[in-house]
Amino acid sequence: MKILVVEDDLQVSRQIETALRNSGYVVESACDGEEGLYQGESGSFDAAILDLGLPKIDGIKVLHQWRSTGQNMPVLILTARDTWREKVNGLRAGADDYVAKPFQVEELLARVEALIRRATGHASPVLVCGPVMFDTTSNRVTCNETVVDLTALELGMLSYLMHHQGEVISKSELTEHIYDQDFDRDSNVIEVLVNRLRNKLGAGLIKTHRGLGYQLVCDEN
Amino acid sequence: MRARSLSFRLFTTSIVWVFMALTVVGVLLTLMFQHHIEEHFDAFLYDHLEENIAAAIIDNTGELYLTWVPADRRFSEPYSGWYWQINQNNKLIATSESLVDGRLEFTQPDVDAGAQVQKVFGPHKEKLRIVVQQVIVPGSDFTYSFLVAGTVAGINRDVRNFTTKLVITLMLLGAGLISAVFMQIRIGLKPLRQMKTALKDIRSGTQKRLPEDFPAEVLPIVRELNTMMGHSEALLERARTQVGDLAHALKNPMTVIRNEAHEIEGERGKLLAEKTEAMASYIERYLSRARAAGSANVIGASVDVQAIVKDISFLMVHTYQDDDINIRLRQLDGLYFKGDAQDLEEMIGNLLDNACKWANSEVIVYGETRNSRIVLCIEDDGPGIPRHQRENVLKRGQRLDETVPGSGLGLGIVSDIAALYHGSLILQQSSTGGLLARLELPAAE
Repeated sequence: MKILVVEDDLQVSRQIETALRNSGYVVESACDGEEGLYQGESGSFDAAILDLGLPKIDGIKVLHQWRSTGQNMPVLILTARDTWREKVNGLRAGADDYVAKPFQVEELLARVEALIRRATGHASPVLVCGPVMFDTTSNRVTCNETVVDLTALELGMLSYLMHHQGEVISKSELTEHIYDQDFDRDSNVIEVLVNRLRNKLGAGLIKTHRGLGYQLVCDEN
Repeated sequence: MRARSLSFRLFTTSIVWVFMALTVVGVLLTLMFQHHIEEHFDAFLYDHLEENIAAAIIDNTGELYLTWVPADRRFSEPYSGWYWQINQNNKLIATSESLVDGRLEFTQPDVDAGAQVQKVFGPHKEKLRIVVQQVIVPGSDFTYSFLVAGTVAGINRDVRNFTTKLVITLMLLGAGLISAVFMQIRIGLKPLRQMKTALKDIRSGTQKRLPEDFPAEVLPIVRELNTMMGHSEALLERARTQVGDLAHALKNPMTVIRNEAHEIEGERGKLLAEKTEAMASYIERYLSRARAAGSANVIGASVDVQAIVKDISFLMVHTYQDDDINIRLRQLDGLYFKGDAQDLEEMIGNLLDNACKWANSEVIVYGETRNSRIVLCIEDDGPGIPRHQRENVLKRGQRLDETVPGSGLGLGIVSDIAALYHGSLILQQSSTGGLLARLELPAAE
């Protein structure tokens, strides 16, 4: 899962990034409105955290611009002035949720996780696919009720696939959502990861569609 | 037109002076007309008097006789009201045929007084006007009184006709003048009515300022009002910007400290976390109070309560969508708060947030206007607040216990802002056992 963080206070930004990375997210950050606007329009993100008080272009304008160019990723806004009007305007501009400063990163993480889950159409925080259960709040994965230990990359890939159950996901899409920008796109690390997940969670879980991508298969048998 | 209005004062005083002026004009014109017609009448009588005097001669016997009599037929018709008479002291010498066998009584003027006008009564007690003169006819030693009389009935009739026409004319003129005065007042006071409308627009929020195209007399007031509104707005705006900047400047470091504190293990970390929580709460409360406009607004704009409740509900539905809370809005039509929109947002925001936080499944918002006060009720079906704790929750500077419903600082802020508007927040038990927050505020007209 790839998150865009647009926040001008570097320390706050760093805390958010660290917390997100520790939870298995891929993070890209921008420190002003202009950069945030550009990154949001050019990359494909699973969610964005957007501060409203940004230099150059303010957060509400960035959000308007994203929405008008068809960027429909879930957006969580951070407010420091926190008048109710600002929050209402934020949601009317197309934000999906807001968190008022000063916040605790745990709360922020929970909100981001819930946003992504709702955006991909899942009501419960525990995603289930056949024998595999993925708890989005704790990042705990079980297969046939046995806890399975996964590396951060494996977790990232499983999380993306679990959120998009049934869809055929291309290799490049997977790469984009579980790796940083500067990743070498020619390497065969995706195949390696898919194989490792098959080994840990069962060979039938991920189906390969040649030339198209991968699909999570959740049939009970 | 109300009794205590400028229009009424101008209108009544105008009616009084129009009435008085027309009455004086009417009386003067009637008197002048009467005077003129009497002079004309007297001249006519005098002509005949001269004629009689000229016709009088003394014969050989010393008796006076007239060589001719006036030809006017009215002097020959019996009791026509037109007569002539010649006396020598009390002795009747000659009369017109119209007098038949009667005589006219009059006061004898002095010989050198010339022709004199008198009012006497005729044979039928009719009012007559006479011209009489003492004349010494050549060839006689005696003085003779020559008089010519005419009835005043004609004069009175003419004056009456004239007065009737004059009154009608003056009444029409009066009506015209009064409608002109009415128009003048309407036109003259139009700027004041426009000012009233403009103020109403400002109250309803469609205008920010009074337009400055008023006449010179009103313009200073308009400018003064605009300056006052601008001044209080600028003060409020500046205060809010500063509070906003302060919030922005404080909250980023607060976020950092708060998260770092949570990273520190053991008692010291716990202490730090606790203190930063407390700091965050105090900052929140005092910044909220600093943001409040209170009654700073001179005109007191009117704010649609329903629109704000809808906006905040929209926000709450988003925020609490995982908790499946149903927010029901009832009877909020036509509720208008007299005060600042942002203050109302702050109050409703905190109340609804608190209600949604503690509700099991439902929050109900309803309100009414009573005696120019708005009563807004927000009810939830949560655990409620025990009676003995309700007071504490609203107290200023109360230590906050996040485990007690409603003791989040929100309710205290609401109570503070309501107090700025001489309003109140009362906490009661709702019908479902949860909290019922009753917010009372001034209503706009």
